Amino acid sequence: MTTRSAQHGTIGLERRYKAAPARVFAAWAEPKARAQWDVPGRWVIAEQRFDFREGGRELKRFGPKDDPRFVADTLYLDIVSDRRIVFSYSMTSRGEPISISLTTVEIMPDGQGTKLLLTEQVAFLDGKDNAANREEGLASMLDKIGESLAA
Amino acid sequence: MIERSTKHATFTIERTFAASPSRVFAAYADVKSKARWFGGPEDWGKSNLKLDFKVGGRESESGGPPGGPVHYYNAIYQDIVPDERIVLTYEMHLDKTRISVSLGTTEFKPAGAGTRLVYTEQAVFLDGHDDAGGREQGFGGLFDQLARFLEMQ
Repeated sequence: MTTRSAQHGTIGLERRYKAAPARVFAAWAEPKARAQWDVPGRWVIAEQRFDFREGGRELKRFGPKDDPRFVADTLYLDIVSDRRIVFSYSMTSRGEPISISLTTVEIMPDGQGTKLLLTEQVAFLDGKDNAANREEGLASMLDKIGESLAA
Repeated sequence: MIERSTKHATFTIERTFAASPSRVFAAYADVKSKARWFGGPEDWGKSNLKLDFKVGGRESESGGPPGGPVHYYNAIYQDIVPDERIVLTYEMHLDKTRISVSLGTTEFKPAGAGTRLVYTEQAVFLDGHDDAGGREQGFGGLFDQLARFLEMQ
């Protein structure tokens, strides 16, 4: 029997990009642009369904190439074009809960470029993940956004 | 033009009830039970709670003081473990303005013959509608109503 627990944490990350806010926003809003970075490190996306709008729901199956066992179920809650995205996502592994997140992405002009602030408020369930590990994954994805914008 | 801003906040409320975890959980899971305690003060009028209690299911309620703004609550259930845990996300509107989005975790733990309830809310308040203190106070009032409901059962 699973011992139930919930550990709450908040992760804050900041990045500066040499691209206009509209391009950084498009990296989230446009399926082709997002597919370039929407998984940490060398992991792969096995399946992905996009529905970027308030109330839209997206499913993504991803993980290591030989075992893409994670499913993220995302719901967009608040979208302000070129400025802000608030979404929730649950993460499961073969149906077992790992975490529920509430994520705020803020995009703001920074000289000729853009400053991005990501705040993820998370409930980690049943000891399946932790804030340090999640932060590493998110940081990797934000770095990949920078690479995709430079390409 | 609206000045965009965000304020993130977390608060935790713990309460102990004499009722067992399965009874306290049932007060959340059953729409008729939940409508008895999950609502505003009496002058806000009768509850119009709608509840589809399952993972992915939705919940809604609206109300407000006479002549005042209407508060809209819309939730989606993210994780449910019977008698042990409920995780949901919800948004609040004041009239047409979205003022916050929250992640709420409710844990039900045995405490002797009763239940220790731990509610953790992680919220983002939007565009200057910063009201973490008021939100915490509001939930305190809801848990008082839950305690009275459980006592009358």
